[in-house]
Order: sequence, then C-alpha cells, then structure tokens
Amino acid sequence: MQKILTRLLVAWLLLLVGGSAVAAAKPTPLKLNGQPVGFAFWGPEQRVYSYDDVALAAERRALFEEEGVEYLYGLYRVELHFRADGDVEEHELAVRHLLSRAAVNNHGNDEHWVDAFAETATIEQAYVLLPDGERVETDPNTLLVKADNDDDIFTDNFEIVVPFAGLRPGAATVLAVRTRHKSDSYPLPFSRTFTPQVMIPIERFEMRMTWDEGVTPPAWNTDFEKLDCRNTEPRQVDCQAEQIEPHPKDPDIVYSDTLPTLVVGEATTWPALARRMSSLVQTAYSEKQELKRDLEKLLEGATSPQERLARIHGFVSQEIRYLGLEHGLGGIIPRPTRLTFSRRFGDCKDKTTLFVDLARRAGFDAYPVLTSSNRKNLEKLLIPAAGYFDHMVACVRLPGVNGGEGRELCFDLTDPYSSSDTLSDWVQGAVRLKLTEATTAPDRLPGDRFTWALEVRTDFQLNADGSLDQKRTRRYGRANAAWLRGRLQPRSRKDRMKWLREDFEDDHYKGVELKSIDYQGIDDSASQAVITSTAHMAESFDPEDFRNFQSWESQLGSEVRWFRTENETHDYSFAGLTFRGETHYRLPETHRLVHEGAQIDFNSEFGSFRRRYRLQDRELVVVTEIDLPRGTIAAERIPSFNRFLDHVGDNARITFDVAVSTGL
Amino acid sequence: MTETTHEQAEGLGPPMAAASNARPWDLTAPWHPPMSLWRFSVLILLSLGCCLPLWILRLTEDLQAHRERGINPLWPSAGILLPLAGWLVWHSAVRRVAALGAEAGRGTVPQVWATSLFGIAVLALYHAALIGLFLPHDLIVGMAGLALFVAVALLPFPCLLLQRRINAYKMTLANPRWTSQPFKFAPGEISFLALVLALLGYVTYANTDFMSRTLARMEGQTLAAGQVVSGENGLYQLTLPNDGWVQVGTDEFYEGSDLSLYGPAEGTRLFVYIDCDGETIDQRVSFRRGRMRSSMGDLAIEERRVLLAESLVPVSYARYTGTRKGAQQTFWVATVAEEDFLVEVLGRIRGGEADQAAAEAFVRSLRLEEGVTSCKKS
Repeated sequence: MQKILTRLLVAWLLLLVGGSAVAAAKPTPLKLNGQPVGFAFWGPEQRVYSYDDVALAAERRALFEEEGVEYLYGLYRVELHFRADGDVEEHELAVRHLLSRAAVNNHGNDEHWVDAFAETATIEQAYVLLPDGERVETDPNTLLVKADNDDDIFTDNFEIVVPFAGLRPGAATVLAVRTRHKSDSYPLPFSRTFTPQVMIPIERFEMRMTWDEGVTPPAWNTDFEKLDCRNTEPRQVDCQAEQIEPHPKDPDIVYSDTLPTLVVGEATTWPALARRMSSLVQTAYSEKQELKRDLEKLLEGATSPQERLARIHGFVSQEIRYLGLEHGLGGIIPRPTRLTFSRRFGDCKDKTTLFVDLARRAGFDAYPVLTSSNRKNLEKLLIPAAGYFDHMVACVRLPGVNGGEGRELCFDLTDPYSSSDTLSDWVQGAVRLKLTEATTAPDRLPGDRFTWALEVRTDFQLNADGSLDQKRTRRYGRANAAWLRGRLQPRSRKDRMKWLREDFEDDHYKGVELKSIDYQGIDDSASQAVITSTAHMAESFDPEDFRNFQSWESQLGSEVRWFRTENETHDYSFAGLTFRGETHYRLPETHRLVHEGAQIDFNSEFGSFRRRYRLQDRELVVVTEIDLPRGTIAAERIPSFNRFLDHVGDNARITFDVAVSTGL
Repeated sequence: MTETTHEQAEGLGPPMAAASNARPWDLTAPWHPPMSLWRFSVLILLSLGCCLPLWILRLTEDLQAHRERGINPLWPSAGILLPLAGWLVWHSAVRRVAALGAEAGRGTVPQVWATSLFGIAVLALYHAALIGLFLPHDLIVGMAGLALFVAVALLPFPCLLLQRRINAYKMTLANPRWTSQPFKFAPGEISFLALVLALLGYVTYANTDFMSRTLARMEGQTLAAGQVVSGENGLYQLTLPNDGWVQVGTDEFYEGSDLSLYGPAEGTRLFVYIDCDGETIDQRVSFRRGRMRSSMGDLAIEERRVLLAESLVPVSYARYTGTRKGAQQTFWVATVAEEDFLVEVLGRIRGGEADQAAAEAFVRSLRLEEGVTSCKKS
C-alpha cells in the first residue's frame, strides 16, 4: 500500500512538474485594460543570448562613441516563412545598443505593431544584457498594449510596448517577436516592406525567406545596393548587409520615397492586384434603383456636366463626414454605398465608392483609385503589392471635345475644403493604382502646376496729413483656399473673426487700425475663398518731408520663404506657388511721383518674379507676379532655390519717390 | 614797284635790293643788345617756347633797322607759332642771320640748310604739340603734353645756334648803340617773362586735375575689347565691350574704389565700389539715388532688377540721366549684393550713342566670381 501511495505521490509530482512545464511553454495572452487579448502573447523562448553574443567590436564601439551615436541596432534579423496553408510566419529579432544616458532615457522602450484582425504576435525574448554579463528579464506584467485609435479613425492596429528594465548606458536590449499573418483574414496578397537602412546605424541586417514545398516562391526586390541576397537553399533566400551607415536626415523628405527598402510579398501582378481590389470594391455598389431618387434630388437644376460633378463632389466630401471604422475587413473592403449614404459617414474608400457610384449613375466615367499618402516615387514600388497603398480617391475621365482625348479629374473625398476642381495638395503626384480593367501598372495622380495660389488687390489712399487708408481683398485659390477653409470652417463665426483679426495683425504694424474685415466662400468650397479688409494707418509718413514711400506686398515675404527647405542630401518636392498682387497707391494732391521703383524680372529654373508699374491719373499701380511651378528641386540646387525665394521675399518691398507738386 | 620774294613778305628775307643793288649795312642804327645764351635758354624753357615770337620780333627789328624796311615785324613774330608759316620764318631767319654775317664780313651761320632743317623739325614737333593740346581726346592731349615738353627741351638748341651768331656779330660792332643794357634783361623782357610765368602758373593750376588725369592715363594699362578686368578683391569680373579703356590706379577717381577705368570717350569713366558690411541692394540703390539727386538735380531714373544667370544673384541696373541744363550726363550703375558683400559699378558716360551703348554693356557685364562669398574691405 505504501508502495502504491509512494508511486501515486511520485506520479502526482511528475504530473505537477510536467504540467507546469507545459503551462510555462504555452504563450500567455497580454492584457488590454486588464483583459487578456487574443492577438498578443508572452511566450519566452528557452534560447537566450548573452552579452558576449551581441557585443559590439571594440573598434566599432569606439567609432560610434567618437561620432556621438546615441544608439544603434547591433542586429536586425527577420525570418519570413510562407506556409503551404497560406499563412506567413515572421520572426523578428532586434538587438539594440544604448550607448548613452540620453539613449537610455529616450529609447528605453521598444515596440511592436500588430494587426489584431489578421495577425497574432508572440513576444519570445525581451531582456536587457549588461556589459558585466548580467541579464535583466522583462516582467511580462509591464508589457503594454495600446490601441491605435484617433478621434475619427478606429483600427485593429495595436502597439505592444516593451519597457526594458535595468538599463544603463552601454546595455543591449533584445526583443524577439514571432508573428503569424493569417491568410484567411486578409483578402489581398501578403506583402512586407523592410528598411535595411534607417536613421541610426545597423551593424548587421539579416533577412531569410523560406517557403514550403508547393508554395509559389515569394516575390522580392530591393534597391539597397549594400544588401547581398542569394538563394542559399532550394526554397530559401538569404539577404545580409553589415555596418550600415545611418541614412542622411533631412527635414523635408518622404521617407517612404527615399529610404532603401527590401519588399517581399506573395507573387502577383499589377493587373491582378487591380482586378482583385476592384472586385472587392464592386461589392459595395448599390442596386440599380437604390439612391436613384436621392441622386435626382441632388442634381436637380444642375445642367452642365461640371455642375453635376461639383454637386456630387460637394455632397460626398462635405455632407458625408469622415469616420473610419477600419476593423476587420472594414479596413479593406468599402461598405455598401447605400449604407454610407444613409449613415452620412465613412472612410476614404466608403466615400470614394459612394462618389463613384453616384457619378456613374450620373453618366460619368468614374473609377476608384488606390493611392498612398506618403509615396510619390514610382521607382520605390519594387514589386507589385497592395501594401504601398493606404488611401483611396476617385477619378473621372471627362470626354474630350470633338473626339479629343479628354481629361481626368481626381477627387479626394475625405477633403471637405477643396473645390471640385482641386485635388488635395497632400495627394497630388502620389503613386496610384487605378482600379479598372485596363490598368497595367501604377502611375501618379495629377499635380497642379501651382498648388498654392493667392491674388491680392490692395488700394492705398495716401492722405495729405500723412495717414493712409487701406482696402485689401485677398483671393485664395487651389490648395490655399482649402487651407483657409480648414482654418476657418471648424470655428464659430466669432472665432473666425478673431482668427482673421489676428491674421491681419500678424501682417501689419502695431497701430494699424482695422476698420472692417470679413470673409466669403468659407462654408461652400464651390465658391472662391476671399478675405476683405479695410484699415486706417495714422502717421504713415511725414507730410512735411514726404519724399519716399515704402510698403510691403501682402505677406509675400513670409509666404515665399515658407517654402524654403533645409534639405541637404535629398531632393525637395516643391508643390508650386502662384501669386498676383495689384497694389494701387493714390497720391495726395500735394505730391507727384518722381520715381516709381525698380522693375523686376527675376527668371530662373525655379520660376519667375516680375514687377511692373503704371501710372493712371494720380494713381500708381504696382503689379507683382510670381510663378513658381511644381517641381522636384535636386539636392544640389536647393541652396540656389532657397536663395531665389529669399530674393523674391527681399523684393516684397515696394518703394517709390515723390516730390511736392509744382505750382503749389 | 619791285618784285618781292616770300622772305620779303615775312619781313625776314633779305631785301631784293641786297641782291640787285647792294647797299652797305646801316651800322649806326640802334641794336637790340646781345643776349646771353643761358638767359635765352631760361626764357625759352620757362615760357614753354612762348618767347619765340618776341625773339623773332627783336631779330626782325634788328634786321629791318639796319637794312630797308619790310613788312611789319609783328607778322613774322606771330607766324612763328604757326605750322608752315613758322617754318618759312625760321628758314628765312637762318638765311638772314647767315647773310648778315657774310655781308658784313663778320662770319656766317655754319651749314645753313642743316640748321634750318633742324629748327624746322623742332618747330614742327612744337606746333603739333600745340595743336594736340586743343583736341578733345584725353589721350591725345596727354601725348601732346609730352611732345610739348620734348619740343620745348629741344627748342633752345637751334635758337641758340642763331643767337650765338647774332651775339658774335653784335660784339664785333664798333661803338654800337644798344636799345638797352647788353646781356641784361630789359624791363620789357622781365615784364613779359613775369606775365608768361603767371599765365603758365594759372594754366597749370587750372589743369591740375586734367594733368594728373592725363598722367594717370598715360601710366595706366590700356585694355582691349573682350578683356576681363577685376578689382583687388577678386569678387567680380567685368568684360570690356570695346577698345580704348585704360585701367588706372584704384583711387584715381574716388578714394575707396576697387577699380577705376577711363573710357575711350572723353569724360567716360567706370569705377567700382565694394562694401563688406552687409549693405543690401535696396540700401545702396536708395543711397545712390540720393547722391545722384544732390549732385545732378532732377533726374530721369530707370531701374531694372534681374538675376545674374550663373549665380541667381539679383543685380540692379539703374540709369540716371540728368535733365537739368548743364548737368546732362548719364550714369549707369550696376549693383549686386551677395551674402557678405556688395559690388557697385558706376559708369559715367559721355559721347555718342555707340559710346553710350558700349559703356552700358561694360557696366552690364558685371559678374561675380564663382564661389566667392566674402570679401576683405577695400
């Protein structure tokens, strides 16, 4: 009996220990608001690294310290495995060296993003390695899961934040995450873009792609010359690069367009991708009779095609508010247009699909277009993949006159401030994939020659007592109008007037008495955005010694200089600016004009700046014209570009000489 | 009526009667006293040859007083200052002095023709210099001045040859009657000398600027069309549109200039200022406009600003034209400002349309040296 009891006790103990071991090996769900989640887990591996495994070579560390490098990647390794069931497993290992106190303070956390709908992520290693050999484990209870939501956009994206403990300067952090991309959740081909060169040094970058037997080999491509990729096994590609310098920083660059990348994805083609996405969009269009009456009501009284299009654009962009519910397939497939219409809200693809649906019903050749908010360089689309695109707009091809080619108009329906003839400046020139049967490859959205447009008419009455009366009308065009509407539309009338007064004061000396100011075309994007003002300026000049008068072209100096760039190594994408200023100076009866000022003809590769004068009656009219068209400014020409803008700004001053009228 | 030769006409030639009807010299008439050679030399040099008419006058009076009278001695006296006439007067004087000695048995002028030709050559240079002084071109005037100095330096030699003979002849006269004390300046001569010296002093004073300018032009570097000039700072370049420009010392016109040039047309100048204190185009153009107004009164001003093609630096081209009577001149001014310096090229332009166009082109040829962004103060 005792023997049996002993055996039972041993068996129970074995069961206890074994069960604990099994329990320990099973990943533990991380918690969000105290509740476990089903997409992020803590599942430490048995295998761990020591400091010696990841330590930097002495000469490299000395070099980094000499160069003032705060922190760097000692190793960044990714393994992608394309499974026969369609899922993709990704194993990411990041070893970072924090060399300074500042790096410890500012970069003591690491993070990993996970799409709760289509992915599961397991933290397999998260600890700190100290130079003395000590290893400080991360307490899984300190891991944070944060939802990536905004006021008007809600997604399945979550950020897992890993707060490393025991950090000191010289420590290394190790974070390994295994992610499973579930193919049954994601209706588009899988793709991932890696950046083997970033803004901090990477000592070693490794990438391994493998795939199960029978799986179509994944497509991959890179534009990073230093990355050496080769087939090392029949179903394996290995890439690696060492001692990767930081990519040069610049303030005005789109990193997606400039950082070297390695793109990996399920093999597909652009036409197939366009068809696939098009078929997903197709499901959203409403039945034939649906929305018919609503459309008729919307277009009531609109006769010309332009007016009909503007009505539809105005309705979708302004009366369907932006709200992105990007959960599940809602992040990819637009909702039925009927639903969007009735809800009066939707995200970019919901609004676009509604617009396309309505426009087609109104007889237009409209189609949705995938685009990107941060990519303008077609050459960076290294393989056909959906992952480049994060936005959707609509385009309409208008028939040409007399059998001509016609022209294409594109609309960003998430922008309630732009008029129907203006594509939002932030997507102008962006890469796009038209979702049409004829699509063969991506191209770029059209871009205005001048994204920013401003016309200013100012009338100055120079009074004999030295005072000045000013009447000014500013007409905002293109993206400038959208910018102004964006500032004013969300405000109350009272706050709008306050904003206008402050804006006026910014542009004028203290002591200028603002008599009146008002606006037009703020609430209706179809009409022109205009600000009018009148002001009185006492003691503007000394009437006893009045020989010269100076004033400044409205805001020109600051407006132009705003487009300066401090880029040093990267090209600069300039959106284009056009300005027309007409300033009338009515002289007092006591004086006559003796010199009108300098004619200006600044012509350069960047555009032109022109000033002319004419005298009509007792009125000097000064006309200033600036045309700086859209373009890419090569990095080596940026100093010249900046100087050109400075020269234009410097000559915003208008000056002329007067003398006492003879016979008085 | 007797036939006369051209020598008679000038009053220096021997009377025809001397050849056909030899009549003894009237040695009792008063003579101008002999003149010491050094005093004569001083007179010629100090008066820059202006005493020649007086000398010819005295010589003619001596000859006419002791022979038959010819034309008024004032004619040859004045003629000596003229080309051709002066040469004939000189040749006649040489021959008459030679004849005077020979006929009186008191010795003659050696190698009459050689002396005559030598004197004519020096006179020709002297006459050319006098004419050149009245021509409008600065450079010619400068060269004329040089020729005048050379001619005046040479003039005593032929004159002294004659004077020496005349003195020798007069010293052999027995109990001659002198118009004044021999070998001393007569009061009239002293007065004349004083007058001439005063006149020369005044002319010299009045033309100090002209003379220094002339001298500077002569010392300057003559430049050719297409040649590139730059100042001491090496900040800019100017390309000559035509020939005839002369680069002179930097401070030739105004102190603090970086470059100074005389133009081919009289009165045309080009000069350059540099500012290293961060002055802007607006500031300098405004300053210049004020200065122009204060010096020229009412102005017609045209200003245009463009970008220099290579550097995209703004440059102001301004034309200031004086409209007031007596101040009608044109200035072209090019002003360019880099980050740390400003270059201002001023062209004062006179002359015809071609000269104006060339000078304007010169001012407009202003270019900045590539890569230069700062300057040392000039």
